Amino acid sequence: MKKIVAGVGGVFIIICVAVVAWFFSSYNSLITQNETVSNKWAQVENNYQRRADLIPNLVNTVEGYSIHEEKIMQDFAAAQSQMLSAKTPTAKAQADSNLTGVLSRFMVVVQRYPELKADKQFTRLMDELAGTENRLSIARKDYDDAAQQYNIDIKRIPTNFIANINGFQPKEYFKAEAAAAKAPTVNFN
Amino acid sequence: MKIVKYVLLCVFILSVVTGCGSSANDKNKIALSSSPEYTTYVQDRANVLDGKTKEYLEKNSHELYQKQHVQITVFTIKSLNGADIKEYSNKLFRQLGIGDKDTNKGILILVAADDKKARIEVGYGLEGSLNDGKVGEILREKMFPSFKKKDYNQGIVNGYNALIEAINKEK
Repeated sequence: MKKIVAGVGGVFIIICVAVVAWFFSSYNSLITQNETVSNKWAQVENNYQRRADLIPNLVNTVEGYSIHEEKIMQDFAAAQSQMLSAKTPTAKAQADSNLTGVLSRFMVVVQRYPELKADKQFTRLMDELAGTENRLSIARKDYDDAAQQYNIDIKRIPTNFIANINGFQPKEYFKAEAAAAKAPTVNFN
Repeated sequence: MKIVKYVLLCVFILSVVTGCGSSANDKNKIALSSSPEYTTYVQDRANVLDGKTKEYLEKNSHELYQKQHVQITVFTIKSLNGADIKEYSNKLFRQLGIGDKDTNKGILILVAADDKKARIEVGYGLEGSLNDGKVGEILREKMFPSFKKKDYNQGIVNGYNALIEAINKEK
């Protein structure tokens, strides 16, 4: 009789220890994943900033070519100041999407100015813009991948139990967005 | 004896319950065949480079890595099979692990010969000396003129030298 009691007690203790160990390791893994997602988000923000920082250069270059497109230049200035004042992720994403819109319209306008298109400085700026957009789409994809892994883990049994009691919230995904600048420097035919 | 059995059972149940199998991330990989001919610095899979060029690239890349921990890899393929060259080159760059992990000073020169496309992928650590504008200029002015004439050897060497010059200028 005594032996059985001791046996049951021993098993109980072992289970308790195992559960506590599992709890800690799951919690820590969620924390790590949460941090990874934040890190990937920071990369996205870096690229938003980088893109906005290219705009003054672009405007300066364009102004050198007596181009009378006041409206679009004002739109650039507005989009850039919107990016500067944006504090939350949503506001930043919104500002960047506005900038994408202005850039697309700008690409159309530029077609009317062959001398500008031939300008070396301008071509380099276009390369930089296209490069930044490419980096942005990579950063977004990395963020989405990290967010997906995290979201799966906080919803799966039994980790969802730990996520719930510690208030881990699911992360939002990016919607695929079309790039404004086409990479000019790829084809050599 | 019984306790041991219980413990084993508990461990088994626990491992099944918590075993959140980590999914392999193979969907992002590019399938690459291996060959002793391919090295860290030169992988001429489209067979467009001659022995002299490969030797030149090999020797200089090795030296560059020894001296400055900058890794340049030249990679040629016949076709992207419809893939986007920007995505392809980024995947390849990560898959090959070009450049040391902590400094990220790596460069991938990718040429898709039949598609007539080329791209230079630059790691974070070199973006200061090689921004997208500079890289675009090297492609347009140093490499594409030779590529158009199907002279891949000259085009690669010209671009390669221009990249090294830009890196050295920044120091």
